[in-house]
Amino acid sequence: MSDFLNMGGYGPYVWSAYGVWLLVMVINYVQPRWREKKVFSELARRYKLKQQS
Amino acid sequence: MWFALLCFVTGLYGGLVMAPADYQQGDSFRIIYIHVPSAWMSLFVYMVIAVNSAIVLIWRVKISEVIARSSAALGASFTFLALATGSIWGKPMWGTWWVWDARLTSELILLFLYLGYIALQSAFEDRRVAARAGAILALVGVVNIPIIKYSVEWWSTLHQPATISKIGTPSIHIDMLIPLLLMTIAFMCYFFSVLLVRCRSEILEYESNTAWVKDLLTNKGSAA
Repeated sequence: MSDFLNMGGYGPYVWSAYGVWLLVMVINYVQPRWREKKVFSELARRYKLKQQS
Repeated sequence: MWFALLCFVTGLYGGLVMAPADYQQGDSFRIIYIHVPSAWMSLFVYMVIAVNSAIVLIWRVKISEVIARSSAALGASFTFLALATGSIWGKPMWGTWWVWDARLTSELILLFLYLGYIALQSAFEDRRVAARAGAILALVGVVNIPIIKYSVEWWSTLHQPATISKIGTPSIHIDMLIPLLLMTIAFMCYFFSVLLVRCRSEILEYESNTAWVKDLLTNKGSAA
C-alpha cells in the first residue's frame, strides 16, 4: 500500500495531478446541478409573482 | 453518468494499479491517464463548439446555440486539466513546470479562446446576439486546433509525439493502453452527461417565456 502511494518516488506529483483532476471533475459535476435547481426555483418564483399580479 | 463512473473506476484501477511502470519514466507516467484524455477532450469539445457555431451562423438553430454555450465551461476545464496535469508531470520529467514549447503554447491559447468565448457570451444581454458573436470567435479559433494537433510534428519540441498515433500497432503496451481507452470513454460519457444537465437549465432560461416552461413550472409548483 505504501509502495502504491509512493509511486516509485513520484507520489507527490502523481497524487497532486489526480487531486486537481478530481477537484475539477467534482466541481463540474455539482455546479450545473446547483444551477439547474436555482433556475427552476427562480423561474417558478417569477411565475408565481406574475399570477398574483 | 453511472457508466462514466464505472469506466473511471476500472480505468483508474487499471492505470494506477495494474499497468506496469514505464521503463524510462517509472510511475510518473501514470499521470497520462488523466492528462491525455483531458487533452483529447479539450480538442473534441472545441470541435463540438465549432460545429455548432457553424450551424448557428448558417441556420440559426437554437439548440446549437445552447450546446455551444453549455460546452464552453467544460472545454475550458478540460484544457486547464491538460495543462495542469502536464505541468505536474513536466516538473519531475523535464525539470521544469513550463516551457514555451509549441504544444504547450498552443494549448494555452486554446484555454484563452475558451475563456474569451465564455466572457463574450456573458457580455451580451441578448442571448441570440451573444451566440452569434461567440460563434464567430469560435470559428476563427478553429485554426488553432490543427496547430495543437500537429505541433509536435511540425516543430521539434520538448513535448513527445502522440503515443497512440499508429492505428493497429500502437507504440504502447496493451496493459497501459486499455486503461487509457477506458478513461477516454469515461471522459466522453462524463462530458455528455454534464452537457445534458447544463443544456437543460440553459433551455429553461432561454424559453422562460414560453407556454411549455410555464406549464412545467406551475405544475411542479402545485405538486410540491
